[in-house]
Amino acid sequence: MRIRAEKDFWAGFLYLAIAAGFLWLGRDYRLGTASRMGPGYFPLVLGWILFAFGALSLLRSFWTDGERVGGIGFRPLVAITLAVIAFAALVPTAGLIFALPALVVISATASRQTVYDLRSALALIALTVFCILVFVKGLGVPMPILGSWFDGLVPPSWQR
Amino acid sequence: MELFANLGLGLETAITPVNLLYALVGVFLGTAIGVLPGLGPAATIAMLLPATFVMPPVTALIMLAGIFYGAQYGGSTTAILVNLPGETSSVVTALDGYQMARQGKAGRALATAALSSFFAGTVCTLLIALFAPPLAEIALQFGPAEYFSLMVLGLIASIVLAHGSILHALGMIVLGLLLGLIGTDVNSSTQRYTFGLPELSDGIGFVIVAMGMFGIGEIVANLENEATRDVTIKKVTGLFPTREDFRRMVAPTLRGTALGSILGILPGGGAALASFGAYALEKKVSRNRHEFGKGAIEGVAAPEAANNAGAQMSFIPMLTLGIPSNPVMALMIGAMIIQGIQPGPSVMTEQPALFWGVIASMWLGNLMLLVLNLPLIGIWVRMITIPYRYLYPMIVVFCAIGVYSLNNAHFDLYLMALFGVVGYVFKKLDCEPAPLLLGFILGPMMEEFLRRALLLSKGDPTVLVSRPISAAMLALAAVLLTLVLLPSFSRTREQAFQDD
Amino acid sequence: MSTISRRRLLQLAAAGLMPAAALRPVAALAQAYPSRPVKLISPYAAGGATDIIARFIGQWLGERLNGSFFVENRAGSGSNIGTEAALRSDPDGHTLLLASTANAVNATLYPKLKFDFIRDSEPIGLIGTLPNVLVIHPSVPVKTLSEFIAYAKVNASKLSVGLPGIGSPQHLSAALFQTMTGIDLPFLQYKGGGPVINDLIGGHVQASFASSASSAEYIRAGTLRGIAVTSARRLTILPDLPAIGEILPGYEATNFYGLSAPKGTPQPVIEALSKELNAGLANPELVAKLAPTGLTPHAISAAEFGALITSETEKWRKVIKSAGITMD
Repeated sequence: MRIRAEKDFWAGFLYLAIAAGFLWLGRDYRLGTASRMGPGYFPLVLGWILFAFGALSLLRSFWTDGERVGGIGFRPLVAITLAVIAFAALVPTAGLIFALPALVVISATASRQTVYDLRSALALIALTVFCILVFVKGLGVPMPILGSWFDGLVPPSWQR
Repeated sequence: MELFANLGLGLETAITPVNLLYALVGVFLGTAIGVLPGLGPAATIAMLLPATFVMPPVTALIMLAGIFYGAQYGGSTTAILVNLPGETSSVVTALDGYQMARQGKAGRALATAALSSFFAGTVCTLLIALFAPPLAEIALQFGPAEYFSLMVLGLIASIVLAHGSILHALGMIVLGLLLGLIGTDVNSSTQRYTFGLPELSDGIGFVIVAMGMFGIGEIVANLENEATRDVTIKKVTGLFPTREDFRRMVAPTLRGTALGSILGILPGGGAALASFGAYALEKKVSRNRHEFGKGAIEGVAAPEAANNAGAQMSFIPMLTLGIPSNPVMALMIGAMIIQGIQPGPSVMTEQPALFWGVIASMWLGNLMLLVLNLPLIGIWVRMITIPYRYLYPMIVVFCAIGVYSLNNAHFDLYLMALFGVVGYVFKKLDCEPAPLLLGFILGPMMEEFLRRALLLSKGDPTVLVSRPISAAMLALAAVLLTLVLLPSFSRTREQAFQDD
Repeated sequence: MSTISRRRLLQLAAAGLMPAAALRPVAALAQAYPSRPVKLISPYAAGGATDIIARFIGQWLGERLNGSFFVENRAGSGSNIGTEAALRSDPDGHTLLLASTANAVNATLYPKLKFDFIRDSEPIGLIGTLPNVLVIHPSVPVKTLSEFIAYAKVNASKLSVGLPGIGSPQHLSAALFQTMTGIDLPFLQYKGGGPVINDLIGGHVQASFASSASSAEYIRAGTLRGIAVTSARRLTILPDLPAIGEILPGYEATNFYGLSAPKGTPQPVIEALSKELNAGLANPELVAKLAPTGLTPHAISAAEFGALITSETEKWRKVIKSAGITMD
């Protein structure tokens, strides 16, 4: 047996795995009956349908030709994901004024074409100021400009 | 005629300088927040609610309504330019709109969206003025059984959305349905798939999934081969639709408006289906169906018209019955209460100036949006010609701030990062996010309506076919399913023969 | 520097690391209160009754205390997310919570809460009460509460009661009715009050316990038929409707709204807030603004509010247990 459609194979594999996850996590939800469905009924039915689609896709990958998956862009995937996570962690603690540049700098490493020069730095400062003015001051999004690390160190009015 | 007297009263109310000014403020703000991904009209209206304290009731409602439909326009702009649908309705606009933008036709796509939305808005203003109360009555006939059958029909139609493998589309729909079930079950209050996290007890926000799967996933995919494939848009052809474009957008706009108007009056989630349904319909009836997913102008005109029609018509249950059909309408009801007006069936008779003033302002607002947006197209189009290496960090920034502003919770950002990875992986496997998102919206509603219908019928499933509207929709769904599946079966057969 | 050390002092005191006597110098804080914008957390989505009440009360307190009060909506998990956020904040009076019946109910309904509302909160005062109304679709052939009870005893299976979610005040009103009459009405849960009213007007469900504010309009227009109110006494907005307690002695189920602070908030701050809140509830202008939410204002002392929360928690614990309501 040879995998002839890589994309079908991996999609099928993922569907199977996710379906199994949902079915396992939902194993204790009360089922009820078709006429009086409990909270477990819909997830169970959907879980098995997804399982079936996954199995079909997996099987199909052995008897029809399909495309190869191609290389995974690990660099952008890791950089962008890390950037968002860093932003999430830094907003409440350090505040937007640090979280936003961190997000931009980390996500910039995703591209090999990024130029680290004075112009980019100025653009970053401008973007940070713009976001603080528009979102925090203008629209009132409750994001701290300086987060909890600065509690008591700066006047509260600087923090939001 | 009473209609003209009413509309006259409405125009008289809407056209005072103060009301015109606030309508303009509303649509401008709406456009601005709509363009910024993630920041939706509900969040903005919630933040601006205190500002309406000092306004007269009509003015307050006119401004809030302006934000609502302004955001619909703005949301389409981001969907077209950078593939970021911030609203349910702009998911399908992103499918072909973004492809048009990639081909340098962003201006034409944006103008198409604006024009078809304006047309739909105009038709719907008239429809509301003429038929609001009877339409609200009809909508009340829709019980749980009818809604369930409508959702089934929508789900079948969504298979048409995908342009790749049908099996993958089906998988994505079911996965979306499952993801939609995360949270607290309405009937039993069971926490499903929440891992004990209170942040998940109300389910995952639509914007988080959309931003992650569309926005982040697309960025990663664009960056993976940047050496061989430059995604910066260099050449922009024509800012305005050509004569040929106009010819192609007329029928889809008409069909989209009709479909959106019908679905929009249903408070139980009809409007969510409008743009999906319109796109699926066009993809089946259009002469250019092979272009869908590759930048078909019909794929922008139809869902945009349907979406604006649906948005406009969703005012009907709110204005005539005081029933909110979406979070924005719930906020409008809140704004009325703050103003000392009790929403309900008596608003129309006891507050005619308010009722007709808001309706007249809808048309004026749509006109303002057109005037405001057409000149802006040039600026938007120039913006996406910025080198991608500068553009994408900004998109990530706006996604992140938008998602954070939903619940002021950084937990949502972790979720977005997760859905970004999921979106990229599925993209690599040619599994498209649009069917997943539709399943995600429909999943919890389908379950809720089906279980409610069966509880009401004391467990008798024939209620789904014994009620005429429900039966008709299920029959239509069956026909559609056959239409969708037949060509794919015959294709597999052909392939099988070729393989032999 | 002095503000910083005072702040640290407060935090230490709140953490229980310092004896209460050490808090004395803090009394001076009352004069400076509020020293920065005060966050009033409304644990529900914007636009609802809770949010609107919070906004009007916040506006009033801001004017009276020469500070700025802003409302932050922290919806989710049946008010638990917003409540937890409020109770975890610094107890310096700059974070307050719009408390409601949900806090008394959830203490029993959610066994795994990470906070104990009575233990971790400091009562400031009651804002008012909001009763529910037993409403039916006009096709149900009854006009009075006695007729409804008689009809429901025989035709319970023909009636479906639409309710806006498990553990909602409306659900508890219905559950108490069920316990006291012994009629086993089929309950149907919805996501929020809007869809319930929609299906009730459309006749898809036959009865509901709906908030008096949202149903009064339909009762007056004749779209729905009001049967009785859940408060101990009749309501001024629906004077024709009897209180359920007139037929079922002892029946009372009203939602309360009040103001609470995290435990450890300095007493002078609590006193200042309580005083101004009660002044507002006696102010005809503010009362008129609150009227469309259906709220009946009711001013009591902070201690009385604390006692009310305790008695409500106890009352709903019994109802939840006897009606067998669970969040499984």
